[in-house]
Amino acid sequence: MFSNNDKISPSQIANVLVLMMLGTGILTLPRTLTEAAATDWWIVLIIGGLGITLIAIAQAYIVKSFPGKSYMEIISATLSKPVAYIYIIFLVLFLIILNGFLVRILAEVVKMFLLLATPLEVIILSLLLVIVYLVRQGIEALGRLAELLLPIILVLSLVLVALTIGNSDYTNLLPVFQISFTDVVKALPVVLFSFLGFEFVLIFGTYVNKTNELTKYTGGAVLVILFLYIILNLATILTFGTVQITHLIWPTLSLFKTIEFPGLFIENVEALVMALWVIIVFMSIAPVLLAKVVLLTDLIKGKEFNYLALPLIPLIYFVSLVGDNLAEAYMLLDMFTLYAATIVAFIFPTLILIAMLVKKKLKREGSTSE
Amino acid sequence: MNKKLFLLCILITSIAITGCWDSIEIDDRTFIMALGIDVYKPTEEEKNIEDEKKYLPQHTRPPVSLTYVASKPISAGGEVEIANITMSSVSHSSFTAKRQMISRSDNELFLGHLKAVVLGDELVKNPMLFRETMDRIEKDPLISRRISMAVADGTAKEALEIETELEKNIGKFISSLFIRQERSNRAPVADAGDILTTLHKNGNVLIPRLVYSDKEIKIGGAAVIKDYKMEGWIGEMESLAYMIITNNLMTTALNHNMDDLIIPYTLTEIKTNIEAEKEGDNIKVVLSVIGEGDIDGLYFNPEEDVLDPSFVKKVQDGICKDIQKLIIEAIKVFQKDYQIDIFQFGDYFRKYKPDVWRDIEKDWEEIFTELEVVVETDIFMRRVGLSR
Repeated sequence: MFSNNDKISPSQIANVLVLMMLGTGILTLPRTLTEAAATDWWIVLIIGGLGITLIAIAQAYIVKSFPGKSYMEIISATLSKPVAYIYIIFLVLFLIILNGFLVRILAEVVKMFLLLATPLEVIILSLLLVIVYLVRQGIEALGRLAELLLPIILVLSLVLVALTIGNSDYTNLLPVFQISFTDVVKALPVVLFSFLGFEFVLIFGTYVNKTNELTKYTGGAVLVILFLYIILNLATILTFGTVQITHLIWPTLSLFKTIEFPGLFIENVEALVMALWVIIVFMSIAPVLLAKVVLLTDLIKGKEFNYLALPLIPLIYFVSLVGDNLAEAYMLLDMFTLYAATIVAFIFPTLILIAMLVKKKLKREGSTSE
Repeated sequence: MNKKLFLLCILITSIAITGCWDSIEIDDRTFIMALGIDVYKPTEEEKNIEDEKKYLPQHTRPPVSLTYVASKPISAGGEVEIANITMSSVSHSSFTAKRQMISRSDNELFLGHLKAVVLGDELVKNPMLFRETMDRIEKDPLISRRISMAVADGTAKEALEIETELEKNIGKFISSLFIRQERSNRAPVADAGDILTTLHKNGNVLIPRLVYSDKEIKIGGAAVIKDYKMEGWIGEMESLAYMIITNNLMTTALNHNMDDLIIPYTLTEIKTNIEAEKEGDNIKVVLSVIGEGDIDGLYFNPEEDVLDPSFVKKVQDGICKDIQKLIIEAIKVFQKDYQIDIFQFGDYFRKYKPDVWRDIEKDWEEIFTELEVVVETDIFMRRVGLSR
């Protein structure tokens, strides 16, 4: 009866958002952040994180103002219908490419640490098929899974981070306050892009049952990520220092390589870390696919969406194999996030917000003049 | 329904067969415990074999020889004995040697449980080979950053072929030597991760020295690496001073020579604080060493009274001077002989005095050699044993 009514609670969407954001920034953030701001990384991270919180709350506010409306309907109502069609098509393409890159990076890491002889294609395909299985069940299954996995991930990662405290050097945090204002501004994009994923509140917001609590939970989700990023960056900097970090491709993974259990019953915790990492990335890829499916259904005004999930897989698969090597894949991803993600996460939602506020004002003026 | 079943089948098989490419049974793996890397030196005999000629230098740099030590339990009549198996391979790069090795072994060589890496001193004298080796250790996803590293005074191959009597498993033996070093501190103990981190800063680092004889291996002293190239050795006392200055010393036992008496004592705790100041053009570093310890012995029926505070004070002052001299001389060695800031005084400026550091960063190497270092020691002898 009520088994699949496609409604999730605000806390469930917060869980989904936390996992999505975590998957994008967790691997490389310590390196890019240290490269950009050295020992004053925390200033940049906190400013950026709080900024993102405000932006996320503003986007949740958009959804709140149109309860039950899908993203396409919101755009139609604020920026006219043709814009909505064009933008949704652009967004679907964007999401396919984003999905491809995320899958690729996950597969590369898994191949390097776990499945050395398994072909990359097999890793990618088997992962995508599992994701389709989840996405066909819609937002509700995703929300429940996120709610289930997030506590496990949080507790395990905090325990792992705590294990690295033993060989940390607190002087690695010095000197502080050496950064100039322009450097902070220059370093901010690094932080902003590591929080990408919050903008999905616009797409999934339509499924939330208590929309009036949405702003609170969305802001909370970003703050949880900010907290996690601070802890993680702190641990990496304390262990490696600013010079070593810039030489590590994935500082977070290397951090866990420094853990050694004296008892030797489990010598390297890499297996544990990889399991955790696969879960995190799985949960950041699945919502992207779901978002695409939801948007496409809106576009063709379909009633059911689960048959759309599988046909998208070949597209994602081909995108994921675009870069010839890891270096190229990363370069393409960086360029892609710089241009496309800025539009999707920042510029377009701002346009919607402005249009919405202007229309509201016009309406109010209209009603007062009557 | 059928469609769902079909999809499920595909899913299950695709997940289930994913691991097949990588499945290796545990008894098909050989766990490498120690790795030795040397510069390959062909013997006269080998030089004459036509086949071996392809291993001789074709490039400007010599090939390397890798020694793998694996311990394999051999059950002989119910008793399990651990045998050390050493294998060597020659290659032009330490990266390819493992691949070549596989063709000679029935098992898969697995580096995930590596405990120690020993480098031959010849290799460390060649900057390019040394950098290649360090890069390999950092890049390999399986090798832990907590492995022990040492430079052999000789070749790593010889060092690793020694059958130590205390512990048959040589990899484990070397790494436990390191753990015990924390109690004697005659070598600058650091794991591979620490060495890599220090090396990234400016290419200078100390790597513990491994000395071997017929039946024994010991860790003492260190190889001095300057600009990725080994410049020489430092002895055990310089290593001790280095450990004191960098605040890594746990405990150590020393002798104090006082009026023809040899007084052994143990330092149980020692801390070094660095203060630096710049007055005009004069840069001064002040090291204040504070520690405590016990007097371990004097001689039977002594004329001196160990419970007499003035006597203890006298010993204490003597020890303070000893330690001060030890540190000053060690610093001199690095200032004058090697001219590298191994104590990371520069790092102190960078962290605590960033304004000063910006001015002196460029000429730091020169400034360091002329740096005025003041050492203040304050060591208390707390306990004196059971007799007087």
